[in-house]
Amino acid sequence: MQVFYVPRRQFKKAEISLIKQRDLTGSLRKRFGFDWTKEENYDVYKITLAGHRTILGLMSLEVIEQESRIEIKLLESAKENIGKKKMFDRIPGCLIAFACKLSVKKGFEGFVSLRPKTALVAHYIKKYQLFRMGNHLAINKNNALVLIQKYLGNDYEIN
Amino acid sequence: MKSIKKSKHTLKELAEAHIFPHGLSPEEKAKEDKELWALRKEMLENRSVEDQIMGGVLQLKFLLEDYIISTVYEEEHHFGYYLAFYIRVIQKKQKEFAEEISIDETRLSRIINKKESPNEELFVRLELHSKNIIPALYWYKLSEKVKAHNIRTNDTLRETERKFVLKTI
Repeated sequence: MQVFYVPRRQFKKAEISLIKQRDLTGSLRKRFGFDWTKEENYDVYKITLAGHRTILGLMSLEVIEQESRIEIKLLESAKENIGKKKMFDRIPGCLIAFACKLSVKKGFEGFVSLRPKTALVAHYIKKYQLFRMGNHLAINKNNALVLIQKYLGNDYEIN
Repeated sequence: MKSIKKSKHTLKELAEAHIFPHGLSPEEKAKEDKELWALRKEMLENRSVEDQIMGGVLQLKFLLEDYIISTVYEEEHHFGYYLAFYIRVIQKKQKEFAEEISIDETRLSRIINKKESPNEELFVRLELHSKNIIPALYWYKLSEKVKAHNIRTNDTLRETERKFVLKTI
């Protein structure tokens, strides 16, 4: 998977893994608006540049086996990666695509849901091809695969 | 975290960097989850056989990728385990599948049960059968992973072969 380093207009290899207790440092708290220690009941993933420790973004997931779905509870890019002057682009895309891939691996056919803030619904639909399911938004099957291909496409170099 | 309204960023910028907490009470969220489950259940019940098969084959593909890349070897994750997984997700009986790829059913069973090793022809037939979704290379790499583990850990073979090595460097 690749994130986009905006200042130099370069793609850079990134990786996603489960957060470790030691990642929850004071410096992390300064770079993120939400208190991620409160997500301890969920699986919290971090995205970093490959081989680096600086966390670019975080996402917490709840795997709901009995409903064959994964719910994104919270996702946040580090403060320096938000807005017009952001350093890295594609962070949420990579994280959402990762959730979709995890859903496929669980046998949920890529089904991922989230409960958005009403004001942001249209943006999510446009950016990630999510669709409405009640007050939730969801992604599934082909649209999930499109995201996986777009953001994680070169994940595996098996040759 | 400041609220959306107080943020210095536009809604588009916020949406491109976050998925915010829902902010509902537990009761409200439970009610909405119930509505979502009703819709999800309907979706699951109305899946076509083709959709189910495609979902299963992609599941296998991604699991295979993870396993091939991983440095961990798991005894139960042998070639036959994944081959049986494939036959299960495409919803075939072993006999039916053996016919579809022109392989003797007994041989297929032996491969699944680790009594016989797969060959390159089988890797390619599996690729073709999956409409190229799972490349032959994945099956080959899986088979190599098992062989590598056997070579690394087979002390009996080392003992047997020792007598043939008459001089070392």
